[in-house]
Amino acid sequence: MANDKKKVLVIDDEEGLRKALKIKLTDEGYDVSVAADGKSGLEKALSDHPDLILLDVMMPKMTGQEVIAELQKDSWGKNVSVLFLTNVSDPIQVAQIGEQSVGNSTIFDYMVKSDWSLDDIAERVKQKLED
Amino acid sequence: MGCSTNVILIYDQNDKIVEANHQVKEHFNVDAKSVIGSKITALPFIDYSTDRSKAFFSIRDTSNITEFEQIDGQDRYKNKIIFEAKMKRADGRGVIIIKDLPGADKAGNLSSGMKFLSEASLKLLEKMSEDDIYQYIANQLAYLIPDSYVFVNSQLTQTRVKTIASATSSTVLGRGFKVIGGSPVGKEFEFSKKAEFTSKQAKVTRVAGGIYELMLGQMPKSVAMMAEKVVSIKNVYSIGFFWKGELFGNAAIITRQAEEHLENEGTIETFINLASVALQRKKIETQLEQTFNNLREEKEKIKTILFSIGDGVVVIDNNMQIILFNETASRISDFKVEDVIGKEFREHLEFITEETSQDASQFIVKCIQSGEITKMPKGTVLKTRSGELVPVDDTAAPLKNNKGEVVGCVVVFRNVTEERSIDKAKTEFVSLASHQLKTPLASINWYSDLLISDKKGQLSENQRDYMNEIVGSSKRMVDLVNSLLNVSRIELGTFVIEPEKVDMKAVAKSIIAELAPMIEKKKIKISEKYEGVKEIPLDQKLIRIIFQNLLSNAVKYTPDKGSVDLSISEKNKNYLITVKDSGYGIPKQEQVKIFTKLYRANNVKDKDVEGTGLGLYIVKSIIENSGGKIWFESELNKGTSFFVEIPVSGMKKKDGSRQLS
Repeated sequence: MANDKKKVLVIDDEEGLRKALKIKLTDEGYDVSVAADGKSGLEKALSDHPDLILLDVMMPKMTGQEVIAELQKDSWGKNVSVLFLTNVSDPIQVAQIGEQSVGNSTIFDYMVKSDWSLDDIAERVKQKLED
Repeated sequence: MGCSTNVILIYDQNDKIVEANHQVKEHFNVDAKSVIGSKITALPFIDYSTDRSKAFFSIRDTSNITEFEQIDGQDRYKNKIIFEAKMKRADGRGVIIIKDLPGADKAGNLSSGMKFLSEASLKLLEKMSEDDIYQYIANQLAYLIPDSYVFVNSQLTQTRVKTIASATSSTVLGRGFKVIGGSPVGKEFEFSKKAEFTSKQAKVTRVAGGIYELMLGQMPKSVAMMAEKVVSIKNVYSIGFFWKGELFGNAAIITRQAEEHLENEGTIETFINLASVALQRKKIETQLEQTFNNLREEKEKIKTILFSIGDGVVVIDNNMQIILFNETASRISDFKVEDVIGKEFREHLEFITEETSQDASQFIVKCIQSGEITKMPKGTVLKTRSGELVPVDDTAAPLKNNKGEVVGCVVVFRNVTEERSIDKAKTEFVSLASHQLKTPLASINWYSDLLISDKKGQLSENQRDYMNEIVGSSKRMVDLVNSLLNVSRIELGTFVIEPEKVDMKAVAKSIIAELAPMIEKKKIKISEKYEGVKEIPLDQKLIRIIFQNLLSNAVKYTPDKGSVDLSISEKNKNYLITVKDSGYGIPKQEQVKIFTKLYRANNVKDKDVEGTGLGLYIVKSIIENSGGKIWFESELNKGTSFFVEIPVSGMKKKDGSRQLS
């Protein structure tokens, strides 16, 4: 039943990575939609109400932070589960991003793309959806 | 008087003629006795002519009396001063006007002595140079002592004397000295023994040995005696100038007077005392003026230096008030010097941290309280008068008085806008570059993963092999990019050290656990020894990097069945971490380069496939930046021991904008 599948939205400006994530997560049994930039990603999020958003930080038009800031204004958006995906490997920078955009630390989570395999990411997604 | 061919008129203070010689009769056909009592100015027969070329001159024009000069070498007549008119009469004769002296009578008239002294004190207060005072003394002594030649000497050293001035009231003596060798004024004399005796006292002292004794052997006895005979020197006196009991000069008096005691001795002595005071005052004045000029010069120099220093300089006293504010400080902050001087510095100078907008001026207070140099916190900005924020950097140094007490501090700062923006650009570039490098790597990894795990098409064993090689290389690339990122953070100095209470034992154990697969595979024997290891302030991440690097190196570079020993112990306020292996060792000639970037020693190049060659460079930088030391001992094919010393006080906190990863 399509309704039982958890919905995951992947927002990332890198086509290759977007595609890889879609393949892996679809394989894992999720209903995956994608967006290539922050603006269209935000629109999709607000219309589709996914269960989890995989959000890249560095994007043109609207950065990951800005997407979060907009989501915070929405009554649904401020409670959505978000997993930041980034290649910015400086924990301080990422922490700053997290603090600035998300007040609630249980929502905030991040992974550095180049440090983790697809399996690891799938594992984290599973964990977050179970919470 | 009778022998002179000149007219001699002697008049007193009231310009009344008291004596006239018979030449008056000769020249003016007036009985000498009859002019006595008349005022010089009233004499009918003497006319000063305003035309000085004429021989005649009228005394009616008394202003011309200044044309009369006191001269030496002229006859003294009864202790009076002689003036001679500058112009001579057509017939070759001159007019000598003789002025009566105060206190000239033998009884030593008290009131005239007092008059002399009071005039002298006034004169001595005038703005005269030191040499002028000496000359004045000489003149007055010659004036006071009949038929005398006076020398005034300054005592330069114990045995060295310089004749500063001379005066005479005796023609004979004057001529006599010319014969001997002219006036000694300006000459310095070195005496073979101390010249004390000539001026032992501030009293007029008779020199019994005459000229010879006065000259202290400078003049042969025979010459001295001849001189005395030729010019009929009867007496030689001396009187010293004293200041606070020390002799600094003297007056030597040579006279043709026969009396053993000088007339007006009391007056002379008092005069000399007055003159000594005046001379000392003059010396002090000169010194003060010199000091004042030096100080003024110094002040100007400092002012110029401060003005031209390219850095802002602000001096703050113990009450936090600004006592100095230079041009550059004024330019950077846009406050005028006069607006901030004397005010509490926080009134105008706002040092804040750019990131947090909080007050950053603690470094100034700390400097004054601790008496030590303090640095501005990183990221400090100064709020200008217009509210603009200017990035600044530098230090505050304590200002101490000569007792070593802190009386304020000197804050030096400069505008670092450009530096900071360059630093920011560098840091951002490095971050951006690493991000750009890592994105394709993530892609390689993930697609490799998908290939390997793809259920629809199985890979052959060879293909699987090839995929693993690809993944392996890609992972190494990621490691390398991360290490390069750390290296650039180290080089830029932007990395941060954030100490918190950490147990090294726990960190070491967790690293050993991570390395367990490799240790097992190579059958390495690991031993651990921990002595008195307590929790100390350390940066979690950095201490982990240190252990990770040293332990993995030890395991990597030891052949199978070898051993690795780890020990942490406390010694002399330091913790000593030792990682010893029984591995390949480092060849002697390569040992110096071991800590350099990307270096791999020749003997292990083929043995180690993994590893970036940056590990030891990073570890050394971390250790040295946190106040520790690292060194090693190694022997080829026997093994290597790495030693790390970390102070018991832990790692020093370091400000920065980035963490190492």
